[in-house]
Amino acid sequence: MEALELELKQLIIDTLELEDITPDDIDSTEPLFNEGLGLDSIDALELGVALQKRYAIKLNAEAEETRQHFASVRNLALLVQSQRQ
Amino acid sequence: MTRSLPLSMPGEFAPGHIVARDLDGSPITWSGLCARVDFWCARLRLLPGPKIAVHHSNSIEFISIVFGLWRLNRIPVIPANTLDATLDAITAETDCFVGEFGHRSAAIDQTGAETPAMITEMPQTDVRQTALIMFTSGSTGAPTAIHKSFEQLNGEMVLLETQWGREAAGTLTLGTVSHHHMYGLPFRLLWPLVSGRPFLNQGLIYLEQLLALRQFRSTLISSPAHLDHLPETLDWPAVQRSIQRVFSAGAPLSPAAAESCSQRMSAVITEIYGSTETGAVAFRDPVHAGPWQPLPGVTVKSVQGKLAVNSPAVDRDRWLVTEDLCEIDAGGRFRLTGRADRIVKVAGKRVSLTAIESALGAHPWVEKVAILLLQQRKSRIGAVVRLTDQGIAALVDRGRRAIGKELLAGLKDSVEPVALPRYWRFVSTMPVNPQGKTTASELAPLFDDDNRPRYPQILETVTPGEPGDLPDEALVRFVVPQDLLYLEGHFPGKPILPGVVQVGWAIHYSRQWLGNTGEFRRLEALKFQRVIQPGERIALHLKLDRNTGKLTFSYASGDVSHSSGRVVFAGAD
Repeated sequence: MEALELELKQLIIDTLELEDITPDDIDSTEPLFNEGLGLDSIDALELGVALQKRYAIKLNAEAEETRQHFASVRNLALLVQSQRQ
Repeated sequence: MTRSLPLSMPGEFAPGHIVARDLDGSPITWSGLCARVDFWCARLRLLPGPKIAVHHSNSIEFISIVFGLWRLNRIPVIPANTLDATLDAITAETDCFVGEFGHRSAAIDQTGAETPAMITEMPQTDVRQTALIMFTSGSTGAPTAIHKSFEQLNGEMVLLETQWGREAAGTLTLGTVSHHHMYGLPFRLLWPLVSGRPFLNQGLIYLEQLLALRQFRSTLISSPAHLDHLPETLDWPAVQRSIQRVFSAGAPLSPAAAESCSQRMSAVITEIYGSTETGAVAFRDPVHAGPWQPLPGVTVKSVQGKLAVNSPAVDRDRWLVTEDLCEIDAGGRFRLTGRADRIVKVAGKRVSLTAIESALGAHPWVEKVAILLLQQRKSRIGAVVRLTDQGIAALVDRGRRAIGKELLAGLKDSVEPVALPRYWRFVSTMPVNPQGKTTASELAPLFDDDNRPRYPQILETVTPGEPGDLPDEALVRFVVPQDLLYLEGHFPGKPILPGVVQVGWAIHYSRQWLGNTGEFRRLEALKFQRVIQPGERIALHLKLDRNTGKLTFSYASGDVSHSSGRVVFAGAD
């Protein structure tokens, strides 16, 4: 689980071309959007595409459920893991 | 008395008329200029046309090439500078390059004996045809080509002569600005030439050069790039009676700088408002920074808040609407309130770059800030910031990320989330072009480096075991990108992947794929057997021994081993 979280942090940094930030700077439980990491709606779309490509997971762009999954790195990791099973 | 372009050489002036002076004061006469035009004419006719790019720092040579092209019925294309990116952008509409273009310059036989007097009649010129092509400064984006007709150039000459001709009479025109754009060209060369006043044959690089020219009454064509930084050490009283008037354009001149210029040079300072598209439009006294007074012959009006210009330097029959927002008073004078085209769209939302700049500029850490849309970085917003001393202290103390976060916090209420600056560059001086302007083309390259890949292009990664479990081994197959950042200068002409980057990647992918969190201790058994070149397909094998904290890596292609080594980590588990 920890490895997957690390992997997701790196994926977020690489996909969104974030600067001045390493996986260590991202708390697995902090919010990805607005406060916290400060990602926005464009990032959400890009990240969704990257996740689908890397883990073949399906996301529903509008669903409240999806919003939950994107709340933090931990939630994303749980999603990836659950879809693998 | 103003003559019209193109001049009907060679009979326009008396042969001994002084057209220009060299820095040592020696004169260049009309017949001397005509001889240079003949020289260039004979050579230019051998070159492909009709559009020929011209760049020459020597004003007589420059104007001789331009006149030569006009006599051959060709069109000079005048780039603002000779940077590769600028020239690449105009190559499509240029048949060849003449003058100081380095390796791009067409070969010109400089040794040829004086050409026999070759009296070419000026072709019948339609004043509405394109005289030359220049480029906008690209304050907000890519430079755009602007075609100037003879009628427009002549229109601008008449405007300038009407307003200042009488008092400029007899002065030597000096300039710190290049004659390759639509302020320097008319002010420094064309206007003096057609009104029979001499100009200095080269641009002033240092204001100290004014001392050498103090025996001449002069008119100085300059910009804030020079006027903002008057040399303290210059013997100003010595030049005081020589300079009559200083023109400034290209960027705003602060009242303080204007006041200082006016005192030191004891000259009238006149600020010009205009653009490549409009030519000179209006003027004001920058010391008091009052409203702009349109030149006699120019009228302005507001079109949905934007300044619209009617001028003989554009077209008397229509209004040219600029992207400058304005307020016009009852007397027809105007104030500028911002740029309309600094509104950009980010993710469909209209965003004012000016508004972000003023919000950021209010922070005590920020001395100067420029905001731009980064096309090359997914159209995100970039901020170039010169920090105050307080800001620099905070940067040293807390680091780039914390600074960025703090500055963003002040924007949250006024700026859409998607328009918040994503990339920050902290600079000690704002990059400016030779006209003293900070434009998108100076700023955008600051963000380029980071656009180049720092990691290889991954083809696949193979790890044994179940997904989610932490593997001890990984095989990463990749291609070395041609534009990898680390290939620059390593080595020129023969790029190879640096050894330190190979070690760095091994550590990076061990953290990513093997969940290695250990702290780096030392390198062991480093061996480089065969260089890795861009484009090669390589397999990186990683194996982490969690008990000893040792990471073994090897780079190979097929059966060939490129390099291998061990990295020791502390507290690897």
